[in-house]
Amino acid sequence: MVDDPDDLEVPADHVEAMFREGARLVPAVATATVRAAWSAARPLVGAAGAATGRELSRTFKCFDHAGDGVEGLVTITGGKATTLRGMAEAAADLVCAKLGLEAPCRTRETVLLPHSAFYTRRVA
Amino acid sequence: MSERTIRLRVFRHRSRDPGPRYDEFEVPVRPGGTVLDALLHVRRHHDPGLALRHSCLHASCGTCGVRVDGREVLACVTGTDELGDRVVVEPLAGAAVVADLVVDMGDFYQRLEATGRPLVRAAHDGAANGDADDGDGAARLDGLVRFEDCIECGLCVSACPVAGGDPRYQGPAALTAAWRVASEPRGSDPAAALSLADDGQGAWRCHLAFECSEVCPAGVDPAGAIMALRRRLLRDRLARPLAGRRRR
Repeated sequence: MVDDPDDLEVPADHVEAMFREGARLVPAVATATVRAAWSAARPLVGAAGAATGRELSRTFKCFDHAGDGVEGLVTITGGKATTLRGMAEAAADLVCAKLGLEAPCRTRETVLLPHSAFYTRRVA
Repeated sequence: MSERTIRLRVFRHRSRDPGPRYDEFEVPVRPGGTVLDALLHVRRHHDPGLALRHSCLHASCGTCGVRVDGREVLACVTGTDELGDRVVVEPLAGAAVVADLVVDMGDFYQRLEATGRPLVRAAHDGAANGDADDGDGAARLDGLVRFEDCIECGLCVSACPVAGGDPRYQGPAALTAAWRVASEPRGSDPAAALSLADDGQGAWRCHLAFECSEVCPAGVDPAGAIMALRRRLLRDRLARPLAGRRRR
């Protein structure tokens, strides 16, 4: 659990633990060159009052704040990088339902352009 | 392991400014920290308006290319431990500055796109120069060009003394892409890529400074690719019948 998700530290003992535990799986890790060490924070959804991150699940959840008295605001949070597309679909489905739109979600079929297409304007 | 402080001297420019300037920041650095860590510290604690690019934080994406003390590097894997107490950070050379350390990579991507760059085989052809499979499942590694290591960071073009002075030069990244298409067509026709290279502003413009291969963070060796292109183009020329040979 971190105080400021925008200003994270990279604890040296965490890096050492990664090497130590990684070497148990792949011995060559112990002598591998360090390319970089970084840390990131992610939002976890769960019951308020959880003492550690391990108590919270990695699921994601969509909140319609109409239930909190704020109409027109939806929050999508939790989840992992591997579930981002599913999260987008859940959030879009909720928003469409609120707006009365019945178009089916196409993110599962739509192939995204490569980042370079921003510059080359190539249409797939 | 006490914290050290360095003085970061950073290139600044916005389109509304009359000219560029350098801002200096005192930045604490930790052992094992990087230039990117220092730049992000500036954004969080000194000037959130400092414009810079980064993404993967481990030299996979090629986004954070800058010049540190005059040398092209990826900021995310450039350690501050080995640098002095005064560090200069500037944007890549040869490309228009959008803001501060961010440059316009449009021309770079346009040139790469023009080489074709087939990533997937057009059709599975076990014969000819397609597969490298020995038949027992083990792929032969000799003769294969590892252009795929290219992360499109642009360090090579920034370091190239020719590209820095002439925007017409194809540059090491595009020429390496052309060489990969020529040496490993994957079902596509390499003629267009070879034609792009066989030009006064193509492979023949290289002056063999080899700065490109020196700064490449992914082991691509663009200089080697340009030399290979020259050998291939010469070989192809000598193989053509003398009759009908046109002047250049």
